[in-house]
This record gives sequence, structure tokens and C-alpha cells, in this order.
Amino acid sequence: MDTPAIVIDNGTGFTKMGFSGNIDPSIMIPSTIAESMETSDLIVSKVQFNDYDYFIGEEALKNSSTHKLTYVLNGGMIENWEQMEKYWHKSIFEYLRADPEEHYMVLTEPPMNTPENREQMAEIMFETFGVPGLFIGVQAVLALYAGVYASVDKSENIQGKDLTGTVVDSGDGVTHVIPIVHGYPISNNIKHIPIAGRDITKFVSDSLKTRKEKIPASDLREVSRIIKESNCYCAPDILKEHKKYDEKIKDPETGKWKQSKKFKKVSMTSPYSGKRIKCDLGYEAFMAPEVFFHPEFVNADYRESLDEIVDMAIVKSPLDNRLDLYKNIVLSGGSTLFKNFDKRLEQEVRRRVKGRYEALGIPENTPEVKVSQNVVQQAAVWFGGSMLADNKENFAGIVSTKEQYEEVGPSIARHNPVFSI
Amino acid sequence: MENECLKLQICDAIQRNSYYMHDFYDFDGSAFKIINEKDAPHKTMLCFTCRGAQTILDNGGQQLLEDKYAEFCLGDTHEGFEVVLTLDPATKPQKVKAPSGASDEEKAKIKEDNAQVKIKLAELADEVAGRWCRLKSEFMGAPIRKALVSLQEDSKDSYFVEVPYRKDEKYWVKKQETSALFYYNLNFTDPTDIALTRMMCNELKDTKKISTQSITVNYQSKVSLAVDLVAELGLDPEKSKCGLISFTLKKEHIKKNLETACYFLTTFRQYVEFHIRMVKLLLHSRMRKRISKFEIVFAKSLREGLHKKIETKTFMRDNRSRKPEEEKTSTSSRMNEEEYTIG
Repeated sequence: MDTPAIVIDNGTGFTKMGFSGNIDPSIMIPSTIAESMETSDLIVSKVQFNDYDYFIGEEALKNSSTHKLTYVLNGGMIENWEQMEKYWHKSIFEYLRADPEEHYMVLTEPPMNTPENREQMAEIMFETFGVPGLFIGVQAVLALYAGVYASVDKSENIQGKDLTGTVVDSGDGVTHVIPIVHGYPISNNIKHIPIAGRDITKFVSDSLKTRKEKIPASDLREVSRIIKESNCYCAPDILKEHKKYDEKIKDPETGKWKQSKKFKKVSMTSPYSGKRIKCDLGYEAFMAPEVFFHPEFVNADYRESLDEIVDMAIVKSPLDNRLDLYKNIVLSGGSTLFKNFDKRLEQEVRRRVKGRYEALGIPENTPEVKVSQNVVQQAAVWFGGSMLADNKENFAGIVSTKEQYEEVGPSIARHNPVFSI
Repeated sequence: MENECLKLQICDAIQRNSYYMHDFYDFDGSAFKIINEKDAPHKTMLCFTCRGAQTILDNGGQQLLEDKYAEFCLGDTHEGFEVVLTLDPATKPQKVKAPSGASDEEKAKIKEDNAQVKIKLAELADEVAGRWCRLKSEFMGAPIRKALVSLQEDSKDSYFVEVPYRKDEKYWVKKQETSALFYYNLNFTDPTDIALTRMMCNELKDTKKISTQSITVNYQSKVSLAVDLVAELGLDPEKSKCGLISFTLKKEHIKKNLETACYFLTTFRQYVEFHIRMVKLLLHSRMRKRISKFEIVFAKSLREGLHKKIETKTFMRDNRSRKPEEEKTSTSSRMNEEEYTIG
């Protein structure tokens, strides 16, 4: 097929979509849908047919007062297929403005996705949209592919054995740690962490609320998100960082003690109300991302830090591959974009591994730990799908075509062909 | 109608001032390329191509570009693209770097000026992107617009244009002295899509009965070479499975709103496809609801006979070891161990 494939990565928080061959997605919108509220016999919708009266993405958030707002995915899994179908319909026709019959489709799925879900995805794509071919890729494998592609530069040079590494995929709703060996996720060792971007945003908003910052309640969440994305960072040592913030500086001219320059004043325009909002930024700048390493800050029931989970996932993997898994820890997802996040994670995992080998009396055998950031980290999964689909020769071998679907049925999607390269 | 996604990409490219390239595609096999070249990163170009682009250029497209996009047609070309719009870098406000020996006041002033430049650049990007994102619908509808404008101006010229805007589909514009006819052959491959398209086109044909001033819509669900019109248009019946539909417009139809008519005719094929997919989506959602209700009923159901209370024996007693005179019929289901031996 001459036309490029459509690549849609549906995440819990955001959906990235675009055409293959591009480095970044054409558009990224929240994975939200706002449907018309049915109130008994009275039709409140202005549109004649209620079924057409729905919004997705940013429009859904703007119309949340008149329509029922829901997140389409929960923990990366599709729960309501009707909503998902509507979401895809608007994504393809209104945002991407594509003829689905003329483009192959690349969708992504979370690890441990059920074969029934894959069948349902295939059924919707082939029956409703009439796509000529479909490929459903595991998100973690595509993120790893993106990382390998960036270093190799040509997808023809990527072999199956290159796809060995540990993917830390942290998005808006959930964080996964997935060890992958030769392109196959080791499903027994996949770890889910209930801490992700949304929790960090909540931490920031709670801090602002506690300090009684003058932010309207309707704008608080969005303001917290903007502060998190633009100002938060990972500190190598939170105690030392606290001391830096608490340090008082004496002004040589006036002789008065001043607050540390670490405290900042932040101002922005609210995207919803359009008002100018000003607030102070304090400890939450470095304490918010610290939630990954001290999850007890937000969840009293969950105490395993991210580095512990990563180490556990690798330790339980086959012995032959552990060195490669430690050497190639790849970050993916928007919540790994914090400044110095890679260095901090590398430091913590290395400390943990070194401590274990020292306890065993063989510190010289400590494996090398390396955490690498992706070229397009926020949309690493999407980028991997884009580059995979752009390699038309190999892609034709792994995509399920419409003819195959008509012959075999939806069960063609049960098997997830990993890279036959 | 604005292409929001493309608009965002163009806005981003204009404000970037560094090397950038992004491909975007639209309905009917059209393609865009947004480029900030390595040698000239301040220059933003939008390249566009579609099927039948040369035919469109010869039939109103060139005129449209000269009328609406004159300041962006700077003569740039890009291989594989027929239309190239360029934003002149001289029109873009540029930031100023503070010289090394500048005082604090001068630096603060430059910083403030640069903040204003950033705002102006964003406004310019929004304005230019808003115009460029309409290029596809305006360009591909140029022959339609040309016919409608000449109809509005009472021009008596007549001509016939064939535009191969899709792989297997075309539209024709037949301008006559007092009317303009627009023909579309529709071709879907899926049998359900074909059936839905025929239903929709039949509905469109029937709408003319509602109003006396409505436009004339003619529809042939099956294309036959025996029909003169089909032969005149050079239609291939194999590539017109959904038939041929035509709209006849006169001056009174476009007296008040030419733009609406032009927009509808330009995006007719997308309109049909959108609604077919939506109908299938709604059918599937209703089928899914029915199936889930059936599954609930099925899960609650029991096999016939299982809900009845067992009152008699449900097993066959083995009486081989019993003595004939001691054989008794017992209503009790409990075995008498003293009387019964196995084997």
C-alpha cells in the first residue's frame, strides 16, 4: 500500500495519533469522551440525534458541564467498546481526516491485554471502518523498538535480538515495568504500579490547596498539570534538596534575611477561564516526582518504589538475559520526562543491585545499569509504531489484511506477531 | 472548514524557526508536507498534492491561488507537489539577542521586546495557519466554485470538466447557460457500504419532493453503458458500484449562499463516507447491547429438567445377586446393605 499507515496509540490519559513516517504524532488529545446526558423522556440535546451528540479530547473537557464526561480507558484497558468505537470514529474522520479504507491501521495494546480484546479491536476496525490491514502492537515493545531505532537509524538493521531491555512506561493512569527479551514481553514479570502522572498532578494540586493558593477550583487541576510539566524535577537527594530550600540568604545591602531562590513565583493563563493565575511554587517542585521513589506519599497501601519494582522484574527474568535487561532500561511515557528522572532511577537501581552483590560477597560482578531516555520520549510508543509501519517491506509481513480477516475471522488478531525480523 | 490538526502543525512550524518536517494526509488521497528547510529554517513552506491536481489547476485552481493565496505563492517548488505556499521570512517578527556589553536595563528592555515578538509571532502563525488549513477544500472545489461563480454572474459560457479526484471515482462539472450540473460516481467495495450508500442516495433523491424550490437530484443505483449519460461521461460500471448521482443548480439556489453550496458539493463524498461509518457504528453498538442482554438471560437459564425436584430413583439397581423370593420393590432410594451384594 502506497499511502502511509495511521498510527493511533490510545493511552489512559492521552491519545497520540498521526501518520507513519513522522517523528512526532500529528495530534495528542485526552482520552476522554463526553456524551449527551439522557434525562428520561426529555431530549436535552440540541442535535437531532443523541448518538451524534458527543465530543472527544479537549472538546469533551470543555463540554463536561452539559455532557457526561468519562475516560475511555482504565489502566490502559478498553472497558466500554461503544465509547471506544465512537472515539475512534471522531479521531479518524475529524482529527486525522483520513479515509480508513486507504490506510493500514496500527493500534497499540497494553501488556497482558486479553485475546478477546484484540479480537474486538479487529472486528471494529475491519467491520466498521473497513481498514485494509491492521497491526496491534504491544506498547512496551514499540517503545523499545523506538529506542533501538534511534540508535540504529535504519529499521532494516534491527534484528529480533536487539529488542531486549526493560521498559518503564509511565503515562497518565498507570505505570508498567516490562522486561522484554528478543521482542517478547516476559508476561510473568510484568509489574503494574498504581502511581502515574495523574497522582503526581494530584499531589501538586493538594500542596497548592493546603497552602491556600488563590486558584479557582475549576482551574486547579489544569494549573497543577502545567506546573508539574514545566517546573517539577527529580532531586538526587531529597534531604539535601530540602536544606537548599530552607537555606536563608542574607542580602548584603539591606542586611535582611531572604528566602532561598529555589522558591519561585509562577504565573500562567488558564486555558479554560482565560484568567491570569499567579501562585508560589515550593517543595512540590521536587517532592512531586519523588512519589515514584516514595509511593507512600500518595498511597498508604502501596510502598514499593519504582527502582525496587524494576529490580524485582529483572531478577525474576531468565538468568541469561539479566545483564542485557539491566543494561538497557528504556523510559517511555510523559511521566518519565521529569528533569534528571533517568539519572535518579539509574542511581537508585544501581545502589540496590550493588548492595545485593556486596551482600553476596561478589561486588566485582555487579552488572552495569543504564537507564536511557528515548528520542521522542513522550510519544515513544507512537514513534515506534510510526517507524515500524514506515518500513513497508517488513510491515507487510506482520500486518493482518482484510482478506485474511474475511477468511479466518476476528481470531486472526488473537495471535500477536512480534517482529519477524 | 478548518483542518484543526493541520493548523496546529503549521502553527508549530511557523513558531519553531528551526529545521522541521511533517507529513499530513487528508481525504481523497491528498497529502501535505510542512517544511522548515535546514538551509532556511525561518522559511515555512506548505506543499500540497492531490489526485487530478493538474486538471484542477487548469480549471479554476490557478485562479483561486492568485485570488486567495497571492502573497504566499512565491514561486517555490517541491518535487511531487503541485502547490507550494511559502511564508516570507521577512514578514515574521524576529527576536533580538542582547549584545554582550548591554546594561541590565537594556537587557530587561530586550527581554520585554522579545516577549512581545513571541506574542506577535503566535498571532501571525494563527492567522496564516487558519488560511492555509483551508487550502485543500478550497483547491479541490475550485472547478465547482468556478462553475457556481459564473452561474451567479449570469455568464452564458458552457463547458465540461472531468476531475479524477479519487483512485476509482471522479466528479464532473457540466456548466450550461442557465444551470450547472455536478455528477459523482460512487464506488465502495464492501457490500454493506454499497447498500447503505444506495439507501442514502435514494433518500437524497426523494428530498426534492418536499420542496418545490429544492435542487434537482438524480440518482441511478446501477450504472449501465446503455444509458447515454454514462457513455458520455465514460463511466466504468465496475468502478461505480454505488451508482451515479447528480445535482443540478440554478442561479436562484446560490443567490444567498454560494459558499454553503460550494462546500457541500466539494465535501459530498466525505459526507457520504462519514455517515456510512456512523450508521455502521450505531448498528454495531445496538447489536452489542442486544448480545450482552442475551448473554445475561443465557447465563441465568437452566437446562430443561434440572429445576425439577427428584422424587423417584434415578439409578438402576443391580439385582443379579438377589434371590428371586427376596426381591422386593422398594420406594426408598436408600440401599439396604444386608440384602444387597455386588458381583
